[in-house]
Amino acid sequence: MELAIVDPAIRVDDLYRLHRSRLARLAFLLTGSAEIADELAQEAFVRLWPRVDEIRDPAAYLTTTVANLARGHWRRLAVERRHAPVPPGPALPADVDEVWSQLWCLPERERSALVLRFYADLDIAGVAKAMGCRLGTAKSLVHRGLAHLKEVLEQ
Amino acid sequence: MNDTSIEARIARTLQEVAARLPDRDAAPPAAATRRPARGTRTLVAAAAVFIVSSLGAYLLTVDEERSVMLRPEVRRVLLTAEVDGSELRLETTGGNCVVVVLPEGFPSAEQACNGSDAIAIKAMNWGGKTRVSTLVWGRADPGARFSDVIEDGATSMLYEARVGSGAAFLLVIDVPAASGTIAVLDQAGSAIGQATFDHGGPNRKPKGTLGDRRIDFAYRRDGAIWVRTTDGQDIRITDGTENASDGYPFVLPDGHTIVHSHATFDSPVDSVRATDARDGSSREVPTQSMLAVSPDGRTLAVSAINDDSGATEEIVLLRADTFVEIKRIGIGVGDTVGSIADAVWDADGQGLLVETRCCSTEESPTPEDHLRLVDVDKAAATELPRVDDSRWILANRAPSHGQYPALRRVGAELQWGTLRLQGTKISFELIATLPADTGLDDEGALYLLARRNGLWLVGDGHKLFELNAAGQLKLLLDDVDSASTP
Repeated sequence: MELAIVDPAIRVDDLYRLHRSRLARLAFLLTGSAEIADELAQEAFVRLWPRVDEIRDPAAYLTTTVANLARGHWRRLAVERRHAPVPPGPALPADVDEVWSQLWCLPERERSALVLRFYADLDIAGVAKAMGCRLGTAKSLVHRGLAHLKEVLEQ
Repeated sequence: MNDTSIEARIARTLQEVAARLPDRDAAPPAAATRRPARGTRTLVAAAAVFIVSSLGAYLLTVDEERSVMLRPEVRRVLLTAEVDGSELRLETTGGNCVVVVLPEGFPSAEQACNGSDAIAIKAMNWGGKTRVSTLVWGRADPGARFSDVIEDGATSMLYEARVGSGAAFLLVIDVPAASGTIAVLDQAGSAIGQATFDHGGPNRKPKGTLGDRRIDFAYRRDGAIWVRTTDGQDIRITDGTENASDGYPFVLPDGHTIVHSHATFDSPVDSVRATDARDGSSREVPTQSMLAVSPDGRTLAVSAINDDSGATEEIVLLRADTFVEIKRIGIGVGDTVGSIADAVWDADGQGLLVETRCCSTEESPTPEDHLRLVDVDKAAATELPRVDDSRWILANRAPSHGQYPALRRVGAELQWGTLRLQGTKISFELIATLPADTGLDDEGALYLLARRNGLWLVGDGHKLFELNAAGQLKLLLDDVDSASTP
């Protein structure tokens, strides 16, 4: 039985090894579910695969795809059924736990904007692109998210 | 930024939380050649795996004893197997497509089709995980239809099914450009019927344009928008980059413009697009993906971020022919804010039933992040909350591609349909007293169980109710925990 691997597959292999873990962690922060995060990261590669040779910046593409999938996942039935409203809480130091809990009290888009800004380390333009909104909206989401968190954390 | 700034705290928190995510096996796609362990809770426990080679060959491993390699020139495959004591004969034609015997314990096509004839399962293996969707063929209701994608580990009624002996099984290993014909055979080897499939993939070109023909209906299939003409022709209007999974395309009253949600692989951001089936030209408006076309086809309802709030989405009404904005309707009810999940128009086009995701505030008792239903009056731009937690409805909703009726309001009743339940109705008055609430089984296994003539609801204290098609509610079990699962 013969096997042959084409170059695009090898390239995706490399991308997979390089980015999968990062994407899963990003998806986890966006969805609060390790299981769903794993699926979203996989899905991002599935979407990348057919076009891997045409995309100039696969890493950015994968990040945007995960952000979009995380947004879409909130709307989807199957995921909705499985998803607990409050994310699972790994044992965290108190101060970290406080911020993490309060992050999940924010509206979904504010939370996503903060995750993309402060975890994925995207600039505002990158946040806007990943979230599919205008620059001003992204700026507003980050600003409001920060303001809301600051208000509750400083109480 | 100093270390105590709110930005620094957030960054540190996110890093710390992310670091605690278990490091999964980072096996690359090619490592999908590993045979999955038996007994794992995956849809294809003895899963087929494949590797795409430059020669277009596909390695398929069914189990240790059976394997087959196919090349593009292979046009016909016939496999036999024994499942549940019955011999199954499996056949497919067409290139880039293979079939395998489903493993023992695989869901019953009989149940999946609700008494129809057969089901085809298409799967794509990636990084050791298999993504599966189903293609259903029914003799009584001919025509192939794809149901939602089912993912490994997903909770699905299909999981609850058991292998039956009256059905044929197919597992189609999908590749990005696979196409072909699936022949569904009964146990005597006679063809029940066949269905063609064309997993477009992004590189597929539109197959044609409408020309002088008339559209019967439009549908989404395999990453493309298709139309069925009144003379029975299926035409792919777009290429295979229609990546949006939600919603189905609408044909406007002009008879040739198709409105559909749209996202591409290059820019996986949702928008609403109008495509002219006559020449494939299109125009689009950015949105947040929700799209509902009014019954008369003249008005679109889409969702958009309210720039003043920065977070809450609102309904935007647009003229369907020009995309000119008519009106914006906020969905905030009281002090609650949230996003829009979906919306359906009333039959008279005067209002919409909107599903919103809410974020609770101190003033609002709405469970955070729960989807609920709101009635929106188009003319008055007012909204009336209907159901505070609609998960019990959503859990049994129709597939998003819209081939089955989903949620809608009919007078004083809420109506919805699913693969199994067509047109279940319940009055809004009764909804207010339904026992469904939070605190249910996380897996949803007992949450809402579909039946042919109604459905079971599990409510407060895990009581089990039956809601029949007439909208009557009957207590079946007082303590589900101590009884067996129905």
